[in-house]
Amino acid sequence: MLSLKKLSTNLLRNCGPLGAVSTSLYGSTSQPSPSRPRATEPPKRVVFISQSTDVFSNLAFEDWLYKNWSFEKRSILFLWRNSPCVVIGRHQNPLVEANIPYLESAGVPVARRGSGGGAVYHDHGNLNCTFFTARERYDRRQNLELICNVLNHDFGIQARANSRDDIVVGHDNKVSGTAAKLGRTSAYHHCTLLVRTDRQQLRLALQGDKTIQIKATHSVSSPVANLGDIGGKDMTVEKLLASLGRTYLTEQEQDPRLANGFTLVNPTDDWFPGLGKIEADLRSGEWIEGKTPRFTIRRSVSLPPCLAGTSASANITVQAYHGVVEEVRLEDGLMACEELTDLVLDISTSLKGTPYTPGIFCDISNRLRVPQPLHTQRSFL
Amino acid sequence: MSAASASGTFKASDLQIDFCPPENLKMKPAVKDLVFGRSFTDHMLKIFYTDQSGWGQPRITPLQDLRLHPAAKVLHYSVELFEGMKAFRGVDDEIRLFRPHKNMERMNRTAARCSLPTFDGDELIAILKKMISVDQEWVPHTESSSLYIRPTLIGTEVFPYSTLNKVHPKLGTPVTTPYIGGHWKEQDNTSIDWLIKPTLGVQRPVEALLFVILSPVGPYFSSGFKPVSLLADPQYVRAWPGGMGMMKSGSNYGPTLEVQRYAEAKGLHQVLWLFGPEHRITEVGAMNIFIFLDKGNGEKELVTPPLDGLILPGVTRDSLLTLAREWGEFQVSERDITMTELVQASHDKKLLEMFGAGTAAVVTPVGSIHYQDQVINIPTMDHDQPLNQRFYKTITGIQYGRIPSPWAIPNQ
Repeated sequence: MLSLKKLSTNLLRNCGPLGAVSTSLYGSTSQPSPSRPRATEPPKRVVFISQSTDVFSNLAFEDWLYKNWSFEKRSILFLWRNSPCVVIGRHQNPLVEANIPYLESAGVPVARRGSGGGAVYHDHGNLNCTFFTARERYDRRQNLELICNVLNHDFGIQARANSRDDIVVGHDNKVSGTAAKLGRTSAYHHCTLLVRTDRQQLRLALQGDKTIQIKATHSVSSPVANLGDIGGKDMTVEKLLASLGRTYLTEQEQDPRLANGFTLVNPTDDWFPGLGKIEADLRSGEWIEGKTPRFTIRRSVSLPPCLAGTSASANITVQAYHGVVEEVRLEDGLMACEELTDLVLDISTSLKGTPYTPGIFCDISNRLRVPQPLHTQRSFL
Repeated sequence: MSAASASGTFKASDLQIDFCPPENLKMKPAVKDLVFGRSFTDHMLKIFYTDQSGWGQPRITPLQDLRLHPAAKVLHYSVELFEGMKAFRGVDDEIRLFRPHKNMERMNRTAARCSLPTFDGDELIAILKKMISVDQEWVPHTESSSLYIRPTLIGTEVFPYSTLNKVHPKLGTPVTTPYIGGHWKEQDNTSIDWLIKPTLGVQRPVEALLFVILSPVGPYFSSGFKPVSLLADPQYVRAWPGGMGMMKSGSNYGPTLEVQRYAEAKGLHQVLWLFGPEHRITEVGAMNIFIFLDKGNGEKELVTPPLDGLILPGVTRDSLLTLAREWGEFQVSERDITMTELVQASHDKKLLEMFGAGTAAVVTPVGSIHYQDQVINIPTMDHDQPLNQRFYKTITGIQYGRIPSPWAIPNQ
């Protein structure tokens, strides 16, 4: 007896391209209807591992996945590592969070991610995990528990998640950071794990300029620890990566048929069209510096004898917004001579609209020493 | 009686998967370096067969070398067959297989003729879907990327030793002799002779291995449709009556490599295979051949050689014939066509187009044929809307989900 399945398969085999019903090949608006899995069927799980260590490519890929994919049928754990870099939160000030002059001289990039939260330092000893799910399956706690189970089970490290969603070991030493993004249909939870991070570099990199006054999000610093210090020399990023991936795929409640294994991803535009644009935006000054909220910074600048009145120095405040100078102000203006006041006004006019850099006070100091005649400053306007 | 009943079949529900561990995954090259047949995915499928125990358990494993006894039949007498088919990442990012049942039928027909075991094609399709699902990220998310699927069936002689340490279920001792066909032979003593003695005799193999590997193909663009030049030399014969021309067996392709080299040495691209004293046109390279003629009475005719035993029943060939009949705009003939007729049609300016048809490129336009002392030029692409391009757009439209069709099976 032919089963119904065999009947329909035979039909498909012997008929023309449009099946038994003859309609025009063109102009048919009906989509082929594959048998859809029931909405309640649990999604397959797959582990993506980035083959790039460039923070901009990886952040761009995270964003690309979030924007372009639906996670109804597949949940994804994306594991990635970066070459040394600093990543600040969406609303933070890079000057406050990171030691920009040091990082520039060391060639360490600073990136701004799309999600909120604090600044972190990444290097090869740090593992990033991003859990992608459909919006209704978003469960931060579950992800943190998975990580803690792996650490306890596979590496003998007593780790737990605290109320701030940090993973801590020992006496509240932080080994992770968490950030998240929730959209209408998709969500991701990003967690970083310190395994063998260079803690000295971390400290140096995150020593920002605390004299800057801001309304932006401050990072909350906590004592950190490396999992590698506790887990022994067998604990490496590679091993943790493999353990996390395996556990994610084969967690007890998961039907083994839902596991789809590991795969490498090459986060470039030719593999994922549209990724190039996201990456270019992330690299742009417009994004990194340009999203910095308004801030002011005040320094004492020494004055040349011709300008010095009762004091040999003056307090100058620079105000910037979105990384661009808005105003240069002279504090204690009442005590200054008219020449100084006018000079500072001119400096403000000429520096307004230029990008803020940490070297600006040097520039201001030079301009005070060698004042330009007023008419030459204006001659090109 | 289905072809599968002769040797039973493996079952997709028995499929076991050993995922490639992260440290052994292969780096993905830039998309432009994904040349056909150069890169392979991370996994493969293996299913063993023995006469004694039938088909074994299907296993997806990391891509790995095969271990064969030097007396394995495939190495000596070319007891081998293969298939070529593709999965496509559509415009909606869904993956689709193109007419896989046709390949399964052909694979079983060839197996029966090649002294190899047959199986239920539906089971293999279900397993292929899982394989493609596991390795799907090897297909870029751009338009016109695909995954080439290469199922292969070879005659082995000695079953390769299992690489896993196995313990005899009754004796409890470690087993060093082979694990045959997914079943432990029920023996109750220690002198178990599971080794099937290898033999160089020209005999049917009693063991076989079905394996499948996948190769990602990056996008190629229709601007790359440069017509090819052909060498038509009757001294080289691809297939003959009573032979295996209609089977997709490796033994048909190995001998063509050297002839291909002669053609390239003459500065030509491919070989046009002729047969018989009348120089019948049979195939081109590793593709079927189509010729589009102007009949002179306002009608046109699409010609391709009939399936008389010399011709491989290509899936693309069948698809083009079906489409052409569906369109009903010109005569569609499966008939013999000779070089004489072709030369005459060319003189009379009635030879409109000539193109190969195959899985790799769908259509390959032919620009010229070097035959004896003449060069026949064919204006294949010199029309407003060449038929071969219309075929290409329709077939790829179906494959990439632009045109709904039961020919494109979702990989669910």
